[in-house]
Amino acid sequence: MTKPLAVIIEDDPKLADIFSITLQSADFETKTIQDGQNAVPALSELKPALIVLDLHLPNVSGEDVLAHIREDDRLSGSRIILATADALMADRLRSKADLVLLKPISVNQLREMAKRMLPNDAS
Amino acid sequence: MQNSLFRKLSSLQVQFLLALVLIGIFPSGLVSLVLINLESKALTDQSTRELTGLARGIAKELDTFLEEVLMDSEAISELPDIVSMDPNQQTPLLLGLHAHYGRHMQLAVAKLSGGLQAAAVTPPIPLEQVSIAKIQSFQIAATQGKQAWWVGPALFNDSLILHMHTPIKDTNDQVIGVLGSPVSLPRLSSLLEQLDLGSNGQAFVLDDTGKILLHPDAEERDSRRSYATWISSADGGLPSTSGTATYSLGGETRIAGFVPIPELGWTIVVDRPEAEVLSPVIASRNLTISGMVVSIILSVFAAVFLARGLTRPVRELSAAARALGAGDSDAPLPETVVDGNELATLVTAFATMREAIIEREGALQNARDDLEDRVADRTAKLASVNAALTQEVAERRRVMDSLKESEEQFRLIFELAPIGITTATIEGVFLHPNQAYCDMIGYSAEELREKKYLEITHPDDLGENRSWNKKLLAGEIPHFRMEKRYLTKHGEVIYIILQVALVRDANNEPTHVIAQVVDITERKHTEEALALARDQALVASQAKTELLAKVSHELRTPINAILGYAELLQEGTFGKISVPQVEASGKIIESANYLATLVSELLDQAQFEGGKIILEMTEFSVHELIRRVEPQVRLSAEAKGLTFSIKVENNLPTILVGDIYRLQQILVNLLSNAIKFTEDGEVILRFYCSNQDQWAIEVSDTGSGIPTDAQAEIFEPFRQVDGSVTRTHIGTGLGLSIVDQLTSTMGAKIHVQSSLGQGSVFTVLLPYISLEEYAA
Repeated sequence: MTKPLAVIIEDDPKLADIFSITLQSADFETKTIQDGQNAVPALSELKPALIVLDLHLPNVSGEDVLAHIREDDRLSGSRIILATADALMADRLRSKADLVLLKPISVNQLREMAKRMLPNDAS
Repeated sequence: MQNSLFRKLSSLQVQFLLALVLIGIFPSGLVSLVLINLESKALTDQSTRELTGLARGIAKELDTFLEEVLMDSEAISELPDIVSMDPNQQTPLLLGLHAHYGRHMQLAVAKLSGGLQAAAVTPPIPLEQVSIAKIQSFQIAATQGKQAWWVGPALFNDSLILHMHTPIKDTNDQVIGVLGSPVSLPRLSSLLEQLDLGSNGQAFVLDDTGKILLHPDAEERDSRRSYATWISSADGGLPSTSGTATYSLGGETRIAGFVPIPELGWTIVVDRPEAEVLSPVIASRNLTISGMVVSIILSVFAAVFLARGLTRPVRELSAAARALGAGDSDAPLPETVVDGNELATLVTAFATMREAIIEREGALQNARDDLEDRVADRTAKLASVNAALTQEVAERRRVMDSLKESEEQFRLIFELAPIGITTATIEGVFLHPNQAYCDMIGYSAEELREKKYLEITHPDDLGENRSWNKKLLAGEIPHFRMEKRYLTKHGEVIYIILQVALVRDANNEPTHVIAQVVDITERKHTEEALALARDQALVASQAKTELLAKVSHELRTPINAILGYAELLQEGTFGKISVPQVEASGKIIESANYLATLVSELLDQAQFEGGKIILEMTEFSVHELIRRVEPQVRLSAEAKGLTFSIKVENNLPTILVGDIYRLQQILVNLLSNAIKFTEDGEVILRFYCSNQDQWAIEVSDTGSGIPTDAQAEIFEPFRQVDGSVTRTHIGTGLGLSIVDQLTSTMGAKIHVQSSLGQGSVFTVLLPYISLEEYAA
């Protein structure tokens, strides 16, 4: 049985690393994308179970990526966690995401929330 | 006196009486009297007829008697030789004859010379001394050879006798002597005695002069009373035919029947007292009169009774009427014996009329009372109206005085007002601008009066001004206020605030407008400068906020890296670590968290200080709010082993209005605080309806609590309860300060209930508002 895939879109490599390790500890297969522009086509193809999305991305903003995800039928099954330091923007986009976590994000918090978001058959 | 008599006579009672007497008694009396008269007349007639019949009978008898006496005398005279016989024989013969015939008073034979030859007279008389030559009847007999009689005195006394002389003839039918055979009047009178003439009736004979000749009563006979005046014919002589007469004799009325005997010149009269003749009638008349008297008396009584009976009700009725007139409406009414007669009808009618009068009187009285009441009422009202009027007049005078005063005041205010005031016509032509207005515009009042205010209005403001004017004149608005620009006489542009009101007359027709103008040019310039400064400040603030946001973001990322790696290290992700390493990792985590909190609080505070809190009001449900808040706090609570529970009371409305983001911020702050200061026990978030105006969010914990004296200070920036706590609990000390600022921005209130060691209860009271209200 394959593990669910979590795609982490985060331009900061350290944070991407932390989120990746954390999600792996939560039994996710992880993939990290550091660029908004690359993220869009990759996501459509990967159809991840979970997407951890930073809003401040180079080239294409996280907001645009979020909009793309919500418009892409192939990604209708993907759960989205917004991971941002901008509370105002997070609030604005809250309805489009499944969860908003404000940076700094605790490892425990991310792990717990990710676990809860997994489909039951996957845990 | 006369009046009262007249009244008495004219009274109904007397009239009734008279009427009854006249109607009932007078005719019957009259009839009785007529009947009695008729009867009297009949009786009188009958009686006179009877008397005449008697007289006629007497006449016949007398006639017969005298006839017989004449025949006797003739027979005696025819005796042969009565003259020539011996005188001695003659006397006895005559005596014999006298006795034989018996009717004569005496018998005598006389010679033609009148000397007596012989006489059968007792006692004998001396014949030679007697001559009868002068006796009329002798003369007739002697000379004419005819039997004759004559009433005259006797030869030897004055008593009247009926002389009767019969010629004695010889064979040659020559008178040779005369036989005197007188008859005494008493003897004749005795013939009259035989008649039954009642007790007082009498029959007598009158001679040719009307004097009594024969009468059964010698005294009457000797009286020679004359009846000539009573019994006479039209020419004054004695009547030649039988008849009747009535006369008064000795105070007694007598009625008589008479029959004349023409041969003798006598008249036979039979009379009786009328009273005797009429005695039956008189008795009947007396009876009638007594009856009449009795009946008159009875009639009078009856009439009096009847009249009283008739007039009593009338009198009582009139008494009742008088009483009614005098105002007594209870006077007794006559009792009527018979229902339905005219009096009863009259009484009933009167009673009805009286009732009607009483009723009408009552109604009249009521009406009068009512009228009086109304008059009094009206008078009172009038008086009060008068008083009110007087008061009003005084009030008006006062008002006029104060009006004058206030007019003067207003004029002064108008003239001396520091703001421009002017009146203008509906068309916009100036009427009375005050001094301040003129000063502002630079034109004199006279110049302004020839202008319309639109002429001095800045062309760019004309459109708005016109549209306001239109609304004002259409009555859509009572006045308007606008900012606009004037062009002064000197060509300057000034900014003003214009307030215009429309004045209408009593008929609601617009008469003129009043405009108040404040020169705000200076203010406008200041404002423009201020706006510029503000914009610049805003830009600067924006830059600062953006910078802060960027700094915040930029800071959070490395903090997050520190925190993440420290956690992973602590978890042993990178290989087993020692206890001191774990502790060191924990300190790194703590510091990183503190740094993160510090950064976000600083950012929030920076936002407040930049005046950047703009509430974004939306409709939301409390569950949405919970959904946002819960993930941020539950984990930290549970990590500390605290029970975190959320209660929503039923009385809370499903949909609320507010800035959900700021509410979320408040709740996260309060909950983080509660979790931070609670070592064990629970943290409860509760939503409920406080009252009809507000709802409440309550955060309670079982933490260390806040001393009473410190409770007022906890909302100030950079405060925590004490220094020692500050060290054990991360945070800038800005959390509650931010909550306080947010709640007051929202128009909400926050208060705390706490005591040391007993936990704390923070309550935020939020007003219910609607979106419309907020928009307003």
